[in-house]
Amino acid sequence: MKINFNINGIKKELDLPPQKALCDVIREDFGFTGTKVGCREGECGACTVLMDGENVNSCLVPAISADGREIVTIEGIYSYPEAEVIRDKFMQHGAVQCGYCIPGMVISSYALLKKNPDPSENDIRTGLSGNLCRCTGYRKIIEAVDASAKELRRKAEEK
Amino acid sequence: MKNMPGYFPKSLSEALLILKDAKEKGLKLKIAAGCTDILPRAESFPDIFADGIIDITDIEELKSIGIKDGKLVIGSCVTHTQLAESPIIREKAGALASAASEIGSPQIRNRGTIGGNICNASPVGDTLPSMYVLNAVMRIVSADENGCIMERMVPVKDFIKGPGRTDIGPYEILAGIYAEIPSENEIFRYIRSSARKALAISKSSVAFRGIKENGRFRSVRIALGCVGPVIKEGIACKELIESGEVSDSMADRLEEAVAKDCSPIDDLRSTKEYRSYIVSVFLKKIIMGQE
Ligand SMILES: Cc1cc2nc3c(=O)[nH]c(=O)nc-3n(C[C@H](O)[C@H](O)[C@H](O)COP(=O)(O)OP(=O)(O)OC[C@H]3O[C@@H](n4cnc5c(N)ncnc54)[C@H](O)[C@@H]3O)c2cc1C
Ligand code: FES
Ligand code: FES
Repeated sequence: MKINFNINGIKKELDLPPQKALCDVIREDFGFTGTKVGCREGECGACTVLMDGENVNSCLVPAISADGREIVTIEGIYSYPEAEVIRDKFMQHGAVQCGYCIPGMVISSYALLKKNPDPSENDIRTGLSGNLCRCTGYRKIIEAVDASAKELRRKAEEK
Repeated sequence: MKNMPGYFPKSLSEALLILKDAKEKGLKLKIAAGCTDILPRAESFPDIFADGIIDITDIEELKSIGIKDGKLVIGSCVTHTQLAESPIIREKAGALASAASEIGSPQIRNRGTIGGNICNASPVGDTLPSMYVLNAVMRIVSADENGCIMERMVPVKDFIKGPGRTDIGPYEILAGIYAEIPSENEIFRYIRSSARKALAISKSSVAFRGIKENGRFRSVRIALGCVGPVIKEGIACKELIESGEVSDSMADRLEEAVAKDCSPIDDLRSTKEYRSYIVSVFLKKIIMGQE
């Protein structure tokens, strides 16, 4: 069936099986390979993208459900200045090792901070609870998100 | 992968006409809400989508939460995130909001719906015990051969027929849920245990509702999750709790009452002994006011 996609602002109408997983559309039909695939069952969060502003597991979204909705992947997220702050804090805090979980982590961190600009440590842990990391032990990721929140609040006050 | 028709209706009447049309043609369409239950199964059961797929999550009228005639009215496509954050649900049925807030992960809650959770009819579904104690009634809609919208109302305990089995027909949609609102002097709680906080299916769970006056409970309703093929009503527990003033000796007899009410099993998530024991601990905390 014909489906209208809008991924990172690129609009395409594609003829695809409606049940094809969005993560595969993103990677195969759009070539945005920053979105990773780990488990295909909603457990690991490597495939996390924004759909109409909310973080979702793209492995659990059938292509049809993305019709007309706005999808943003790690390649598109840096058009939001807040995401650049998150990226910089991840780097400064050494929150990245192999990197496989990071696209999903950054998307979930962005979604969390959009909703809750002043999260407690517990809020950060909950906000990232759908993203697994096999390398870092989470500590530095949590610090990076906390630092991002502080930096974004400081910037907001400056304005 | 088989290419097949897909539909993304914008209104309930449009959806029902698509289903009526499919019925006349002898085609079976898979109703898709958040797909958090459907898609993990798609690899093992490629036939899950049958002859096509109809996504009902763009239907505005299925996505609202409100109060009508003193009942909570929850659209079937309300997500767990919406439930957890809704001021109405938090104020009028806090335990349901907290049940929703513990499901899966933020990503699962952003997509998973209450309708999908109920239609899945799993004994571990985290919104179900609350549905039982709130005497929830399911509003099921379909279009007849003339295209007129038909509606029937089914109480949750008749709706759930067994694990994974419900009263809903292939051309019907669960439109919404009507649930009682606990009165202000009522205690309404939901507690679950799981191996870890996020992304873990419950090992056992309990929803409780009752009025405590002068140290005694009345109008108690209890629903136990994960302790059998379907949600179990805690009848022996209710009798015990209503039998007199809350006391330590009552609390000590809870485990026995739980054992009467349910038939938990050993499985990969837990053992039957742990399941009955932990449920009795939860009930004890609730009646003693520690939770
Ligand atoms: C990683 C992960 C973690 C999870 N954790 C939990 C948890 O902690 N607790 C829990 O309870 N569940 C959990 N689940 C299960 C699932 O997320 C929930 O049951 C969710 O509520 C299902 O809703 P959905 O909208 O995604 O359903 P879908 O997958 O869209 O649908 C489920 C079934 O219901 C049918 N259906 C859906 N809506 C309707 C309707 N309105 N009318 C008729 N039929 C309908 C569909 O055809 C399908 O058969 C988890 C799932 C995953 C993948
Ligand atoms: S690949 Fe989607 S959650 Fe793991
Ligand atoms: S950095 Fe390797 S999985 Fe997180």
